[in-house]
Amino acid sequence: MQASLALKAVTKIFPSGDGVREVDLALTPGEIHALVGLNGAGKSTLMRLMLGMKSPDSGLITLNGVAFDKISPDRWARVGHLIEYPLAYAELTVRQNLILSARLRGSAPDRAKSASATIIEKLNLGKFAERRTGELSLGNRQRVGLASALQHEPDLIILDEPTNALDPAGVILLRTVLLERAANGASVLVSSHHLDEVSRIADRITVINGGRIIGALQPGQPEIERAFFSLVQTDSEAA
Amino acid sequence: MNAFSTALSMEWMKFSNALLPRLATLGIVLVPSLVSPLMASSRDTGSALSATNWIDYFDLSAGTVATGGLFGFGLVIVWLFGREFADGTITGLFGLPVPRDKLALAKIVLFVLWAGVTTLMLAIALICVGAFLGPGPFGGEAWSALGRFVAVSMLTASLTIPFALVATLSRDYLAPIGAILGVVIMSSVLADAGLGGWSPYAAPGYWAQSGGGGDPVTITIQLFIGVILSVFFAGLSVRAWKRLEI
Repeated sequence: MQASLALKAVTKIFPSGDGVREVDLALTPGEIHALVGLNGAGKSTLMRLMLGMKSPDSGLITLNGVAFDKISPDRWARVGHLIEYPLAYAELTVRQNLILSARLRGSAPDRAKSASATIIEKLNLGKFAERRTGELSLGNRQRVGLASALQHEPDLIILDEPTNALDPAGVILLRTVLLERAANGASVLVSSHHLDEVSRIADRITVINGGRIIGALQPGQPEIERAFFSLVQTDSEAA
Repeated sequence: MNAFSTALSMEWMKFSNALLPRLATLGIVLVPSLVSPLMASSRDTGSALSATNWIDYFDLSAGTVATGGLFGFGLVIVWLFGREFADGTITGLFGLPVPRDKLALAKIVLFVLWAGVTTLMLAIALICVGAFLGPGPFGGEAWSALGRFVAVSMLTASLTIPFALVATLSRDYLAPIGAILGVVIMSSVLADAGLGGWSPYAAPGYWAQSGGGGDPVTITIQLFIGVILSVFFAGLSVRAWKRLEI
């Protein structure tokens, strides 16, 4: 089963006037899609809308053609996400947190144990597996959050600034896992400030500014930061 | 395993590993049963240790739990709900096959189960301390008083459930803890005004103070108002989690 998430003319405006306006976006199976923009551009709001954390004022969000309020629990079991804070409780060990997360994503107890063991190895968390998460550094907590989002082999992955606080080794491990998931047919959406990083792994790069999709960048294109700022500046001047 | 039982077992995993529930359990069991004896030398008439029989002993202890329990039990329900917002883990509880209303219900069920076990532990501790102090023979009325103590403790615990909604709506610890303080002060004012029995938060203590006396129909109605309030707010909390947006 593959996941196709689509947003059609989605608008969500907050009382402050910020938000996202008339956004059309589609995530395609097997693709890593990067969402880039300045702080406050609307990246996190858009991701929260995609996960049901906020409901749109207008527009439609569908997963494999099914409207959000009709998505079955089985379908949600194949979604993995990390928005802002990792799902990691300070009083639990890394392994316990991963088992908890897998169980909440519908895995049976035995499956949750084996999935946590696999991702602990894959993301090089073995050294910390029996330590309480509250004792870990910010970067390692982020790694636990990513492990929790990816361990159940989801086919729809939504990660907000996933490389935040990660050391270079963590960035490389994450890149490997995301490429592997996409190769297996998963739809992946990542937001990032690191244009070089997304340029390395993304199949598509969408630029958001002032809550609107304003264009795309070509992965691997030279001077990608210059191209990004040019797009944003042109849009801001026109607004 | 269905969504609710998964939610309940995961809530238990967090609860049994965290420090605050352990401290709250210790506090609720130890403060009434051990700290009071340390003050026994004064033999004030308002102390459980001034009781000369088991009935007064349990009823005075119930009065202590009716007030102190609002803080002890209240801290735990506020922690269960408020921590997800304060720690930022709430974002991870969206987009799951286990819906959030089941998670909220599991938190409330776990809280009630824990309150029951804690109440039983406190009752056993009180019996042990009471036996040491020797307030006379343990007859049929002593059992009634013990039952009244257990009911007062459980009613007090259930009266803290509305603070789950305050924690959910405020998304923090401060407002619900302030609300607990406000309720204790308000109940005290209403009790001073002679309306103690009709204030849901003062009714269990008022019942304990009356030693099980008074009109049974009136007392039943007064206590039932508190039960209805708790169930109503439990429902509102579950609904708030279902409709939550962050």
